[in-house]
Amino acid sequence: MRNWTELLLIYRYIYIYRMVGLSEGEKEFIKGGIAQDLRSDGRKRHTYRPIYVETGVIPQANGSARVRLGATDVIASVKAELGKPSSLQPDKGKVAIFVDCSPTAAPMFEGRGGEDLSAELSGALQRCLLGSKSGAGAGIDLSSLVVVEGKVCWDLYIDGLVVSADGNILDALGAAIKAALSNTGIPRVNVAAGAANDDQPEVDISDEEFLQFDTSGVPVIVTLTKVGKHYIVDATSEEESQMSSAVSISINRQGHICGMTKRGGLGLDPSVILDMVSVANFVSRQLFDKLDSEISAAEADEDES
Amino acid sequence: MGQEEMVTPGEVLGKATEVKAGKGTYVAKHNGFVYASLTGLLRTVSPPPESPDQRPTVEVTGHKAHGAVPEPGSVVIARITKVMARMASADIMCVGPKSVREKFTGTIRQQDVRATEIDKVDMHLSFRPGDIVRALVLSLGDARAYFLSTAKNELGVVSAESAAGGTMVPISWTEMQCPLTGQIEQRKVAKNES
Amino acid sequence: MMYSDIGRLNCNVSYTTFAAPVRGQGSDHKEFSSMLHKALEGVIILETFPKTTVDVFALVLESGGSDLPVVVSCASLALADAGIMMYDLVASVSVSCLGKNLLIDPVLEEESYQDGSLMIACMPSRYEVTQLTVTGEWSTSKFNEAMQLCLDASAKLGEIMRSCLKEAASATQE
Repeated sequence: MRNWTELLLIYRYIYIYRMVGLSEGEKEFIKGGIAQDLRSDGRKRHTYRPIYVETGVIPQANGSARVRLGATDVIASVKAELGKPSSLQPDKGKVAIFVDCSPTAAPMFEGRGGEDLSAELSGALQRCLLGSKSGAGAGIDLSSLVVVEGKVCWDLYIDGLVVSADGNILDALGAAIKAALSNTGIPRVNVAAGAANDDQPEVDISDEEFLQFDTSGVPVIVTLTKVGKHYIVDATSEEESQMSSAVSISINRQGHICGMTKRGGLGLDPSVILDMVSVANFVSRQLFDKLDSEISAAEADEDES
Repeated sequence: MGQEEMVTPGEVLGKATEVKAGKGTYVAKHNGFVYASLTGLLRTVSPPPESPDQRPTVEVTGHKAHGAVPEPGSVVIARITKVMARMASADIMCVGPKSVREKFTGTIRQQDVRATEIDKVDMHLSFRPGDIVRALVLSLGDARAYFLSTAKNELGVVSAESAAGGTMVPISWTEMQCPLTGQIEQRKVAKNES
Repeated sequence: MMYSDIGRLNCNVSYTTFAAPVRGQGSDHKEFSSMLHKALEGVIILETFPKTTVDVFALVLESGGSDLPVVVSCASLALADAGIMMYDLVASVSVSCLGKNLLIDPVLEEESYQDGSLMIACMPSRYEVTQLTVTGEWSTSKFNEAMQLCLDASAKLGEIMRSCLKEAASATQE
């Protein structure tokens, strides 16, 4: 009988060479393990993989972060530019979120292959972080982005890049954006006084002083994948291939749901969805603590270097 | 036969222990009920008296006349479009007694033309473009075409035109004769039901 | 065309240029096609259609609010009318939250002021949810309430859809 770790190493080795195409035996192995609360890499159903956060990876951006969740690797960058607020909401800044799936993550993302997934992820992130059309429930406080009401505001462009994909990309992106936002410094803007009402006021962007972005309201995203009768948190791509359906729930510190999307697959009983919400609530508290500690450690490292 | 009523997809028709799921219905595994999967008339068919399973079968027939779709095991009528060295292409026109609405392509491979001496088959002596053949669907085939077979006595060319333009008359299982010129041409001919 | 031993579903939702109150507006509709696909893929019995693709095209002539739920319900009626085998009909409803109030089936104006929205597509007879999206901030109790509201509404909508199908089918029979 082989040593358990040896078996795991061999399993990993085979996985690297074969992206899809699990044998029946492997599928049963994954499903059976989840039913018994012991997944292929030894985790329990509600345990995340080790999370590594690095901030300030892109010096030219206003804020950036790289998050590694097992073999899933994503980078988020935040750039701020001055722009004009929309006429419907003159007291709020604007935020745009785009996700790009790089071909290095999976060969099928080359050319237009990753477009569907990118659109889906961008949509899900916008829903989770930006709240509704009237701006209520947004994780990011848009009114802090306004400089001169009705005339000048900050436009934040949040770009996510998927470098390596091994399942649970949405959660990793959510964490990366949270880290990038806490790393973001918005330059201080001095508005020339005495500008006429109709003209664009003169603005002077300071190079020295930065305002740290307030990320206490930013939610985390927890994706629960249903395999058989149980749900797991942080699925690898093999586990995702066996899923019957998945629900991604975005929860903020107060335990309120900020956004939710059901991703594909079969129908779910409503009681299952309510149960998933309570599980997500429980898991999100641990995730918040872990992320916050990782982010402060990363920022401390960045300050030292 | 039972009474007829209109049902829609998702309506409960009975328990799997009491009725058998026929066409247009399915059994839900988690609670053992039989549901309809089409919009149409519900019919209950009583089981034949000798069968061991005495449950009546429920069927739903769609109200829209569907074009037929070739299934493995069904007999089709097709027109040959191309004849090549190792296979012939055909356009499927009818499945059983019903004609099809969409275009389906079938392929008759060299080894499926007849039952004996399958490696010595000459495709050009079995089919010509324009022939109407009766064939059996072997399988769904590949992305381009279904796989057809004429390897039975009653399968093969049913009607063909000679080079002169007359409808030919079958004289044996390999030959057909033109009534206008008397010329004999080689085909894999289907045996008529007599 | 790729060979596959089960059927495939292809969905496309598009808006006419005159659909929105302001001509040409309406940019957040790109993801409606993939959402329609997700709402329907669990409902069609694809194993009965090997080597075939089912194409669903939805064209919104006029947008008056609560667009995606209407598109989903309409698409499922169209599929049932076409005779495609399905597990059940899909009825879809959305609920808007304005302050403390929950409004079911909001119109365009109500949607622009909403604080949060919840859209559910469910199979009324099997009581299963095929698609669910939430935006805005919801406490768990409010979420429960809104979901219950949507499910009840879908059940009622399902009944109306069924009677409509039966009427149309009996009309063609005669």
